[in-house]
Amino acid sequence: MVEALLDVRNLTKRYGDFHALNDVTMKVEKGSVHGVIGPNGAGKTTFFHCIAGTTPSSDGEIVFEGRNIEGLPQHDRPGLGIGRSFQVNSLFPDLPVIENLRLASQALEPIHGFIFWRAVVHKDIDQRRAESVLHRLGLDGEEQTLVRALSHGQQRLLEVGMALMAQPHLILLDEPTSGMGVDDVPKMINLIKGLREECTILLIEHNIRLVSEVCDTVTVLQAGAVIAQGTPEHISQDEHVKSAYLGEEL
Amino acid sequence: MRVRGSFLMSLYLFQTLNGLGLGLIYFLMGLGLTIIFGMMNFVNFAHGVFYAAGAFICYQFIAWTGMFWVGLFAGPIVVGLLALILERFLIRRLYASDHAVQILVTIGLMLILRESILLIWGTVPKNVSPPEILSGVLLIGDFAYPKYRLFIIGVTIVASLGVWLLLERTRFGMTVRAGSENPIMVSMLGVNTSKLFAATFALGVTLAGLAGGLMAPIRGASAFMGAEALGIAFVVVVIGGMGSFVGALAGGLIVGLVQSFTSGFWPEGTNVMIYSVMALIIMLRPNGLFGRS
Amino acid sequence: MSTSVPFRVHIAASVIIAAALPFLVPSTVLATEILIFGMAVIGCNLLLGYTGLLSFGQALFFGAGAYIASLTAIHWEIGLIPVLLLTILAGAILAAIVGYLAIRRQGIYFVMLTLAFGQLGYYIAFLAEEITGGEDGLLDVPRPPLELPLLPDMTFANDASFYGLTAVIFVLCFLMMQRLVDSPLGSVLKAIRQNEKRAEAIGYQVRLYKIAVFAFSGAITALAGGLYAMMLNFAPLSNIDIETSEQILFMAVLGGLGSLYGSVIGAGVFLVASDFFSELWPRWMLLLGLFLVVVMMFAPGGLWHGLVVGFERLRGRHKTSTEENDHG
Ligand SMILES: Nc1ncnc2c1ncn2[C@@H]1O[C@H](COP(=O)(O)OP(=O)(O)OP(=O)(O)O)[C@@H](O)[C@H]1O
Ligand SMILES: [Mg+2]
Repeated sequence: MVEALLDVRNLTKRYGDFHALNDVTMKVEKGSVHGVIGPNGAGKTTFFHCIAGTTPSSDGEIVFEGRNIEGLPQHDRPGLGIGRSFQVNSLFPDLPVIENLRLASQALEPIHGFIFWRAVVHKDIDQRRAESVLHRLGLDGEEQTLVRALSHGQQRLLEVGMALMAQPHLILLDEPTSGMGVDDVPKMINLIKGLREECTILLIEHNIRLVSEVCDTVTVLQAGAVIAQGTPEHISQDEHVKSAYLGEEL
Repeated sequence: MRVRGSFLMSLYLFQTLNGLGLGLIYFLMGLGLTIIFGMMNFVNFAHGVFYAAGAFICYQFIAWTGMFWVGLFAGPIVVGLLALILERFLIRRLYASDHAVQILVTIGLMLILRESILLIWGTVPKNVSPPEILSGVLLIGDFAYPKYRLFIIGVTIVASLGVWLLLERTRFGMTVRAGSENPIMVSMLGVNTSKLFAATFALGVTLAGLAGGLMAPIRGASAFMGAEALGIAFVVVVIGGMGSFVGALAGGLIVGLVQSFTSGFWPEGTNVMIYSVMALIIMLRPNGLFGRS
Repeated sequence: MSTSVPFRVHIAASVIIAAALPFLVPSTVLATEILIFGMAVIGCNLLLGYTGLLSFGQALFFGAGAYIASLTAIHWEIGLIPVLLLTILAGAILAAIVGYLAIRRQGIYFVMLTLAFGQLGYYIAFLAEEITGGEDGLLDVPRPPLELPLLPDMTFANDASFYGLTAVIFVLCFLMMQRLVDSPLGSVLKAIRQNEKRAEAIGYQVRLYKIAVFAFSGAITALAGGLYAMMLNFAPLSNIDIETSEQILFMAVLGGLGSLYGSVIGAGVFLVASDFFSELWPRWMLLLGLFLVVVMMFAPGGLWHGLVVGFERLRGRHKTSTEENDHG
């Protein structure tokens, strides 16, 4: 039995009477690429919000590396090794690309953020790490470009880069290819494939080709509940899943 | 002992009625602010100056006609018309803007209107006297209470009921309420939003004008009365929670009662007390008494 | 990010501003006032332009600074530096408390709370007549002498010497604040303004940073208030009223947010204009209101942004977004 990096037990998230997540239980194995799929509004993003602490969960446990992180504030979670990207680009549009990344690295030592008596140092560890991630994203040469001037595809890559700066043990990628042009998608796929060497990946994706190509395990959510779990091949045969996706391509 | 007891009783009654009257006026102010914000997500920092304008227009019409009633009607109506014009040419361009932009533009508007008031009516505050039948006191047994203050309570209750019926029982009101909760949905329902927004803005401002007109016989009309009223209106919505009728009512009454009871033992300290109560409520309930988080 | 501008350029620029100003405006007193309000506007800009916090309570810090400096200067003979340090410290603490309370609410409620705390401060100052002089203000505020080791004591009785003092303090403050906005902290503040959610998500406890920036803002604004009282030899109640808050905010927007030079330009243009127009027409604030509406509707970047864009057009390399001007 491989050790579970993330162990979610009976996770429930209510908005008023509405259950966005209903009693979700799943294990994410260390070193695996774990896909989360499901129709629109299934609760996938909400699930990520709960793990990352963006919204408090209503009930249940989130055990990460053996520790229940339920209730821990969002800003403490990157430091534990949880990085996340957002479904809709959420960057610092008027700061240069490199500064976006550098800030995400600096955040791991919160006290550094209170240094006010000297300029940002261009040779320190945060800067070096930002540069190496920038290179990895294939954004060399864009260091000083303001994020708002990047193409959508480049911003999608930077989204993932921001999550990577947390030096994550677990990275949560929320539809990384959404809205990307066909030319850019392969870059993202390569980037994700390259990540599996260093961290566990939890991936929300509508792009089924990507899911079956990179995921070891897939969990299917529908209406806030897990309706199927297994290997991509297994899932593609599952009747429940077919009916959940009826009308949507699979 | 008995005499002292009944004296205290009537003192409390006196202060409760005072607080009720003030509170209802503040409620009108807060309600105006809150429906404009709720519907258009628009922050109106000129709200206080419309209150002052209401008082001056009331004064002016009384000076022209010699009739208080004309002034009391003209105040809110003229201010409401002014609001319609401003909405048409300025305010509606700002609905999509940042709150900071809205605030700064309405401060500019506030300066323009305040200085215009000073230009027209001069720097000396104006006195407004209540009509003959509302001056003096009403005696109930041995309890005496100024008639005009009772009148304020009556008018504000009627006005609040009117607004409540308007919001709860008419199509217009239903759309305003729906809009306060979900503006996008209303525009999707195919409602003519530009007219609806104009009407909402005018309604909110009219309420401020009415509050100013009603206050004129008590506090007079001064160009600078708007700043204090704006501060109080903010306290009302911060306490009650923005976008809530009941919240504005509760906020208004709390502020009014705190003010009138404080004036009983510490007349200079009323404002300090109001703002302290607000700070306390914020500490205990960050979203206000009736606010959604 | 203005890391591309070397710090020595800022040193030179601020020294030139301070040295040239008395020759550019009609009087030394006006020049003093511009530098003092320049500092207060920088305090406002830190909150609004860099962090995205619209504070309507700046007069609270300005007025409190005026009272603290006046009271310590009147009652204790401790010299200039301790008086100003106490003023700065008190401003920082007061602002941290107000910030802590106000940021419990977001958005428009936050703005209203800052206004409400400002009003609370005003009414307290109004009531505490024994301490603040109430409506009459505090009279006969001295300018304490500067006692430095190895040097003779310096006094600032005349306008020119007080300008000199203000200029030195201004340059020091300006450079410190320029350092701050280019520092790791400054970068976090910009990040918070641009995308608070992401800042929190990557690990910053946004609340603490907001309280910190309030403290800095309160410190420099209180210092400005203290100097202003010394300049006037008087601490009027109007220092702490809502109009002062509005004026500081107005100057910040006029000059342009997100640049400290903009703040100084805003203060300069506002004070020179008000000096000029208030003589001509007592209702000149009407023009001010019109001006504010026009600026906000048509040139929301403020004067500094206009200057930068104009300058770059001249050099033929106009970009829509300059690094100096990351207002949004
Ligand atoms: N703040 C909120 N308040 C109320 N309901 C919410 C809130 N956030 C999300 N929901 C609801 O929760 C449900 C799940 O939303 P979620 O964003 O998690 O779906 P998703 O699976 O990520 O969908 P998509 O594929 O479209 O991204 C939706 O019905 C949504 O409307
Ligand atoms: Mg989603």
